[in-house]
Amino acid sequence: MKTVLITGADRGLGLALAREYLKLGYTVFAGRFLADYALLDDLAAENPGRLFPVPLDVSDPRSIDSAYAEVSRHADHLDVFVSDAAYMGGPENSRIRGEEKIDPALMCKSVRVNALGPLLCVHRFLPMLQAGEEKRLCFISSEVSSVALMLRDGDFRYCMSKTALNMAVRMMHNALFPAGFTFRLYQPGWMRRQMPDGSLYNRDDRQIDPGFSAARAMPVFTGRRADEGRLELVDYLGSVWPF
Amino acid sequence: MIAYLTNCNSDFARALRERLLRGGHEVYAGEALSSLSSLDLFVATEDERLSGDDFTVREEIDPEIVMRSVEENLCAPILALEAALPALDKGTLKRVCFITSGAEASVNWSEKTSGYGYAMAKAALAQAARICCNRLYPEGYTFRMFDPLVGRVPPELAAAAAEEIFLCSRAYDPDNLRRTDEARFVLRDALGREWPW
Repeated sequence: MKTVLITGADRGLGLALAREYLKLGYTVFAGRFLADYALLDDLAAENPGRLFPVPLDVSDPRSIDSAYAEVSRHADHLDVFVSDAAYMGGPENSRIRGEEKIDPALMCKSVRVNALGPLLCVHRFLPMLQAGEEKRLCFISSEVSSVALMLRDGDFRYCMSKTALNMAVRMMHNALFPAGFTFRLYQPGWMRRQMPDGSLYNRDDRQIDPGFSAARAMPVFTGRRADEGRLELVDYLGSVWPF
Repeated sequence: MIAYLTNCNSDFARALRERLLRGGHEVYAGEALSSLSSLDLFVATEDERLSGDDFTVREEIDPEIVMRSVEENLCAPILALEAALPALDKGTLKRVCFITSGAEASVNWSEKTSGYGYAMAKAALAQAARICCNRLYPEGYTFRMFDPLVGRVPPELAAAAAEEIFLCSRAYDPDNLRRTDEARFVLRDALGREWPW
């Protein structure tokens, strides 16, 4: 039995990735965080015994412990970990010369959810991942994590938290690649937001569907490279971004 | 020239303060920014490697140590810059400097497996500073990211290198931004080396 844990799978890319892994025959443990989204329940009903919604707040170690206990009830290993849960936050309080003062509590929240959360999850689930065959760790990052190519002049909170995530992934890679783990950092593109009824909110015509991004992610997440020792940030078009 | 250091908690910061004073500059450290009528050089000297921030992903992780490091190495410097802007606006040099570490905060180059709090905070600081630079550069502000190579280069030598890097202007051509090196956001260390992000 191949198994995957996906955080932030209530909607959007996380939910679409759950669908993709189900198509490949995986048993999916889908992290649930949003109380007003029931899309995972529908997917679980369509896939009895193969998709398990698991309450999971990646910013709370006790929630991660509970999720570990829940996943352990159904499986003795995890082949793949996909970190998708993220806190976007609004643009307020996070720009120099903004109308409002910068809020350090919100800066901390972004780092806690987007960078520390994935690290805590990998640490907690490491025994199950160690027992898995694939040992593949995938992280949803962002184009705005790239310091080298950053062009924005405001709203730094989300961007800097994804840079912190890249750093955490680099350090996990340093520790775990020699032990047989392989890593993926994925830039999913600017996606339409999925609403509680499953519809997609189209804010801009340049946005892409989460399902499209998930389909483009799968060859990256499931494939093998000759140069697995190299950590790279790959986008949904296959381009490699500098850090 | 009026310089402001956010604190003098480290040997490097103290050495930099002494060096700037010897150079005849007016130097303030850790005092209330509101008392400054103008400011030319702002140096966020926060560079805190906290006790307990030494676990690997395989060991018990203390999330609060990580977040304390974020508060001290990321939030504090950015909030200090925000507070210093009114005085910097009235200064002439408009130079903003942050302290970081290439070996620990470069996603490209890090070989570390522990020290997550420091490394993640400093990597995030680079991106926050980059975005602040994008916002302030058109107003005449220029930025420096500097690695004093703590433990490898004596603080006095690091301070000498910092003074050179902090005070000297790089190539600047107001008529042709493509030739302006100041627009490039770079991390340099006490040995003059440039680190990739």
